[in-house]
Amino acid sequence: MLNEADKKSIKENAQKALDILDDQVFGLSEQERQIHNIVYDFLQSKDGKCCLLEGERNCGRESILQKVMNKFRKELRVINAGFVAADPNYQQELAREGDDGYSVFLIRDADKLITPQQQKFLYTMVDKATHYSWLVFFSISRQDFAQNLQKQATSRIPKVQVSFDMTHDFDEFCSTMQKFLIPTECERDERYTKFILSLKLEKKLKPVFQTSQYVTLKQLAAQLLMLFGYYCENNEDWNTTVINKKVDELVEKCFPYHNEKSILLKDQTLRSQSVFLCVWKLLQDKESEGLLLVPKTSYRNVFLAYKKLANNYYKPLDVRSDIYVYRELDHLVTMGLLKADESTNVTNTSFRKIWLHFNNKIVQETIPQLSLPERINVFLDTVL
Amino acid sequence: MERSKPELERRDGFIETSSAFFGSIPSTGKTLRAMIMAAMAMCDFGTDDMTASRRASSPMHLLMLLGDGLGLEHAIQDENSEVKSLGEKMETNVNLYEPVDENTTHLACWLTTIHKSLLENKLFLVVDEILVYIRSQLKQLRLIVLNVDSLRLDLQRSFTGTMLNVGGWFGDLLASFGVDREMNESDIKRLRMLLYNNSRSISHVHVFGEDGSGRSEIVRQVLNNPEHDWICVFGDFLYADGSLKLLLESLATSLGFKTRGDKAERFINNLYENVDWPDENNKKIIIFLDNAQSIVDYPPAPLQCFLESYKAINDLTVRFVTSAPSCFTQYHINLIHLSVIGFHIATPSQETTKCLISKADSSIDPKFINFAIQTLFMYCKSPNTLFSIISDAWEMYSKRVRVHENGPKFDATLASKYLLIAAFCASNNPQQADSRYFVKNHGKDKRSEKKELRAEENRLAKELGPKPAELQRIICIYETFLKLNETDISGFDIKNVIASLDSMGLVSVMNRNNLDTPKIKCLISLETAHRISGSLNLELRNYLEHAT
Repeated sequence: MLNEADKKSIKENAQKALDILDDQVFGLSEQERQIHNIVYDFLQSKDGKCCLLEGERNCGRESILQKVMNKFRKELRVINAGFVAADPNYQQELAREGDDGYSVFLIRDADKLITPQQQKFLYTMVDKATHYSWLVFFSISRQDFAQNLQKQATSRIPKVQVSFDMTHDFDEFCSTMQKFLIPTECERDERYTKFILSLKLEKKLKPVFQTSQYVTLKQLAAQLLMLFGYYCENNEDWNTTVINKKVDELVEKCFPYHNEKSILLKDQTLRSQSVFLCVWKLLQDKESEGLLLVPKTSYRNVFLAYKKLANNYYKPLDVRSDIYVYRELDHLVTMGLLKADESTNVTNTSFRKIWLHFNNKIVQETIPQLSLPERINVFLDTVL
Repeated sequence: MERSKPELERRDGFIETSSAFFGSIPSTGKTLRAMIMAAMAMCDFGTDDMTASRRASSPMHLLMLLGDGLGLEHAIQDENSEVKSLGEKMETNVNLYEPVDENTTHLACWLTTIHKSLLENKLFLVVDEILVYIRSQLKQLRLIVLNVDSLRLDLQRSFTGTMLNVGGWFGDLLASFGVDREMNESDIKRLRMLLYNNSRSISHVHVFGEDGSGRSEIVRQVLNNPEHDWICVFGDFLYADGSLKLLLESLATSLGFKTRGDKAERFINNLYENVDWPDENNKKIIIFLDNAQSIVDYPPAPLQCFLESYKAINDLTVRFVTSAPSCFTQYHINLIHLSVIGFHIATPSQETTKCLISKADSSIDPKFINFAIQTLFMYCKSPNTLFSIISDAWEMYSKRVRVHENGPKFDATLASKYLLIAAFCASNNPQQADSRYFVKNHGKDKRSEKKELRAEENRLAKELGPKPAELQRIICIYETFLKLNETDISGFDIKNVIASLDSMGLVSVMNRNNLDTPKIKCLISLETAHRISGSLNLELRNYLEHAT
């Protein structure tokens, strides 16, 4: 049980941890050392050079570079290559950049420059780096960056590169989460540390570790610190059971099997759900026409299956025209639960092809969660 | 002599040609008393626990209400015996009740209030199902009800106005009083915790949910009370209609400065310099972009740069909030690498909807709301739509208004019906079958069993669908049908009738560049063709090669 002093301490430390969460970068000490050496050599020798920063998106390339530049108290000038790719006139504005001596540039998303006209910007920057004594970092995320370069750019491309490969294991993952929640400024407070350790996040983070990156971990830490620092107001909120329940709710959103389409299926009306289940039942019985082809059915077959369901199992679902079923199918396609043939050759809605848009196993797991009438469940039991 | 041309309105592919299945209200006899009993049963929404439990567990709750109103004893065996038993008991007990004038209008009022709310709200999909359901139940009791088919005709006339009027209801009900008190409180709290988070790692929050769940209204209410030193600005993807320049201009106008040029990066720089921030040392902004389903109309590369510009300036915290019916990857597959946090707003449950409607209009009887929502929730879950229907129905019911509306009945000319059936046969039959169907036996099939099996196998191998047929072939079939029914229609040009059907969308004239041999494809469905041929006293099934 937590007393008033404990709650006050936890709130203050959570707010403090949330303020410095953006500057926390972990797991990239080797890359930080390499970039530190490159910047140090540049500042000592004043020779212009270029460097590649290669890695996935959201893996911390810019954060590490910013951290190193903060140590040297030097300004990092960021150029977004996406704007160069989207705006042809951007290069002319950049050409007016003056020589103010020993600048450090970061070209963000350099792999977006694909056309020969756009890649002129690349070797223009490389030439200017040599001429004006600039240090230019190219941040790329695609592995085939070198293969897409033109001949002029290939000869000028820098040989120095820093790779950001994420090869952390589960223990590092948990220790990073703990460092996000308990930074060095809050380690001295024993009550806050004890509270965070009592949450036992290691067991909860096991599914998140399988597919997520550190950015998901940081987002989750931000939400937890927001909860502890600002949104636990009364005594009931500080109950251990309530705290763990809220933490479970936040962690659950990061699970890889958290499927948004099954949530949308539960939101539909009973008729929409019945139409969807008719499509699913038809595709269960239908063989695929080829190894790489998904099984499909037509609007008309769905209508016939729906009429059979309405006449034999659940009379209130009956419709007197096929237009009602077709409109429900169009709505399900709009919501992304089904996929339909959008070819312009389809002149009659009855013969339009339709198929499932998400996993068949997820549908089977979702059906018990829908509150369907008993007779519709009897209809579905004939195939389950 | 000037030829008379048929003047036909466009009916979105439908022709309501069936005659009325039910007659008008009789004035005397046993049937009137039976209708009185049904009307009295409709007024009783059931108050005892036994009725409530039966209503919750059985799809035949309307029959339960009928039986309860009459005080009949019955046991639930199965649907057929239940209907039969109830019908028999009503027949034997009907003489015990005296007719009361004011009660005779209850059933009619219920049907006409649904009809009236339908005309005003253009929600034919939901209401028509109720009519069909009520009629199917009453039909088994051998009761005579209103001419329901005339209501359906008005539905189709109102069809084109449906989409135009849906947007006008948006936010009426949920915004009229506090949403925070009715919706899930923890959901509001979690959304607030997410939107006003101090960390910059949360850059994009996508709120998704079904239309009518109050998705955008909830986000607007959370953003209209900003915390600490946040600035909130509202934009709309649907309003900008595919123009990123227009979107940025609307955002800049809301923030109080003007844009020079339409570049996304310049917008962020202007945002940083020109906005009047509550805290100059801590600049935070939330950009709410509604109707994110229109994002597919925008050019991908500039929009991607705009949504990625949250890290353009280190001192500025930018957070994008989008709102759409489905999840974000459904609309923009190119942005799948963005770390979007999805937040789901659930559709209100039945209890929540009842509470909302009771608060919106406290004069409506709670039993009436309970009964109506149980009936309507199967087809529509939007509180706004349900509120419109129920308030109109309650107003008509409480005033005991007697309304007998007979709408105008749309009917195609006789020649149009025959031509449409001829075009349907020509489009769906192979040419080789014409002589067998229309010359020799007139529908009587004398093929052997072996030929029948081979034809069935050929049918399965072919792709189903109408095929273009020549105009002369359709005219020959048309003349054959006229001779078969001994009908004489003359004095007009058949090609004008075909042109009218083409303008209505019932047939499709192809091969327009070759005027000598136009080809015509019939677009109506099999059910429509059966209904038209039924009114012409033709057995269409006998003339089809594949009568599926």
